[in-house]
Amino acid sequence: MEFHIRCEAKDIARYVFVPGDHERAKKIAAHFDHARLVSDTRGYLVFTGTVDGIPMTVASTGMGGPQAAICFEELGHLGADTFIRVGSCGTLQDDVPCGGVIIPTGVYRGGATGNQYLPPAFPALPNFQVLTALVEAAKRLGIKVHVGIGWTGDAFYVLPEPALIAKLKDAGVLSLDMETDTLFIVSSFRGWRAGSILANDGTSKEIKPAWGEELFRKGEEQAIRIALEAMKSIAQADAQEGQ
Amino acid sequence: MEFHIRCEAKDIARYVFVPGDHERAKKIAAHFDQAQLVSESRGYLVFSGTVDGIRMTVSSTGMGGPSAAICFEELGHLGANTFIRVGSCGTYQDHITCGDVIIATGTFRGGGTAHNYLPVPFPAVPNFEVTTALVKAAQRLGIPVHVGPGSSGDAFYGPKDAALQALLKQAGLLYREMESDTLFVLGAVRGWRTGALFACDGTATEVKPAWGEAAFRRGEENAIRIAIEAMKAIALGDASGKGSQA
Repeated sequence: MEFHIRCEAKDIARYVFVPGDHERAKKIAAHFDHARLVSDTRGYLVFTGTVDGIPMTVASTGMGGPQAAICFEELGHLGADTFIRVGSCGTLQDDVPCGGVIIPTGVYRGGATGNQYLPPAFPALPNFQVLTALVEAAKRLGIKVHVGIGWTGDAFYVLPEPALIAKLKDAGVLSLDMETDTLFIVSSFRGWRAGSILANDGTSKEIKPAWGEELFRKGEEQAIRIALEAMKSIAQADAQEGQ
Repeated sequence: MEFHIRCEAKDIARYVFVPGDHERAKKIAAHFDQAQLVSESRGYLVFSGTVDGIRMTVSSTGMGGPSAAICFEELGHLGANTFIRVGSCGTYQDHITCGDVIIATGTFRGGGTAHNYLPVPFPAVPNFEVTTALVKAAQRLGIPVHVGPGSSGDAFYGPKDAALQALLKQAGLLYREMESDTLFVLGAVRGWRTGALFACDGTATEVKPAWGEAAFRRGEENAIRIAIEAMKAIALGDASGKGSQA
């Protein structure tokens, strides 16, 4: 029995979705067959079910690196080794609309939790197989995505100083979120496969505007569909390789 | 006329290969049609030519971030916007050996030059389109490759921190070399597409062993063939307006 997520190995699949929001965990579980609530503790809401017969789990991580890292680690103790974060984000780019879906190819390590694992010079990267599976799943589903570099930080209400923001915008940084750096670094450290897909809930000028809520919810559902399709293709490739 | 590479815009293609070694620049130019020596200055050896009718350039960068950054910037001034580094590397991993080819997905920023552009937490990552083009080119050519992250550093002979080396090995780094961190960070700052692949010239326990030389040279030629095949696919995608076959 893990200390914080209060689950056992029989409850957890190898393939895990890790949204921040527990409401999004419910939305992902709604796509599972035979979804069952495995645990509801400390804000971690965990469901396990199947998709096309493949066992999958979803666990909400809460916001920020520390509690997300605890969630990833305890899922890893129980056999999870393939993680897709399905999150929300803001953006620095004028051409990414509310509801736009972003797939990060690497993120700026503005958060501190990953520093306890690997020094800041270590790149926070998705696993290339998972990254490719997400991009190809979006293509199969006909959903437009933005693919590129993101930024992750610890303080929602304190953005980096304006001079750095301007540099990051100029360098093409697409997404702003709070957990992707931790997921990528802990996964490199533990030898897991990880990827991230984010639905944008703002614009380059506005944080979570009310007028964008409905667009964001459409983007959220698209991100969920892409993540499920990608995870299925990864599991099928594993089965073919006899892993 | 650029200060250091001593070229003009008419000399340089949009599609550029950037090996460190000027001898490797000659090997890449040998695959061009109508290869012309454009410049030979301060160790930068620059050739332009065509591949299947597509204009391409190769320029050696020399070793290390400072000399490479000057080369990338001056090529950029002249219109280059798609860069593939074709390098050599060592490795952290026991399952990789001399002659293996590694495609980079992101680089530990052990070098100093890129700090002048963006702070260390900014990830040194290649452009996804270029990386995908390299992986698919290797598949088409039937050449096995390793795909993953690695590290760059500034001091080939510098002291190594054993604890850090063990950590980086455990975290799955594949390659160690000296220029890809600079290329990837400059690519983000300047809005270029970048990618990198390397032929391994060592093992996890040996630096450039003499017994591995012939295998390394075969790997180097494989890396060159993959890079040229990938660049062709990118250029064809640009021409069709649909992005590469990524």
